Amino acid sequence: MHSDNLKAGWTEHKRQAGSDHIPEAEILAVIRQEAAQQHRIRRLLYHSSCFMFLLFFCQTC
Amino acid sequence: MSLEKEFITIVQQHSGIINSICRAYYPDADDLNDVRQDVLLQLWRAFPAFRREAKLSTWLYQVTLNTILTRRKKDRHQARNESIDEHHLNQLAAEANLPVEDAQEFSWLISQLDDDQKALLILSLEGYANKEIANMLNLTPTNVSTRLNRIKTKLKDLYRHALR
Repeated sequence: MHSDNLKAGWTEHKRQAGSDHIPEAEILAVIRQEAAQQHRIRRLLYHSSCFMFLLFFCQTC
Repeated sequence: MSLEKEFITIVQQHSGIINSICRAYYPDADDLNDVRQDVLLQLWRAFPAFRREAKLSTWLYQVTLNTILTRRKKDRHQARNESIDEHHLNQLAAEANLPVEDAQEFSWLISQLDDDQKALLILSLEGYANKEIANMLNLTPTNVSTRLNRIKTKLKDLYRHALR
């Protein structure tokens, strides 16, 4: 297969794939999922910090 | 324009790049949706750090290919089993002398390459120079050149074999 044919094959492959639209809802779902995960991590960090502070506070009292 | 809106516009405008790479590695529709979500997540995570002086399409190719290569490394065993089946089916098709269109022929040839070879071939067909490909895939330009030569030889052999 000549590289021109290979290029034509890739162009056709891209053309077919390009006709598949990525819906806005799918992109938004990914963004929301990431935001929820970030929120969970921040909450975990906050609770861990509070726990460490209380532990340290109790030990010093 | 908010970051979210800008991201959605970019993804929709360049859906061809994302879909074509995902399809090259995961031809099945079920896998395609899974991997596309993975890619979108990585693109969204990398988006705030994207430097505007870099070409948008280059950034998309880089993040998409690296996400897929990492995912493929994770499910290497499964992928190996799939490629054996695929290889077998394609050999049957070749032996039966089925007529193939350009895109089908391309899909067949690319399915015979390993994950890294696919990435190199796609970037080379997109017209990226060896130095750019090396930067995108963390390789040296010499390594890229050597690997591309090997891929070309392999494709020629495969094509000759399929025509027999």
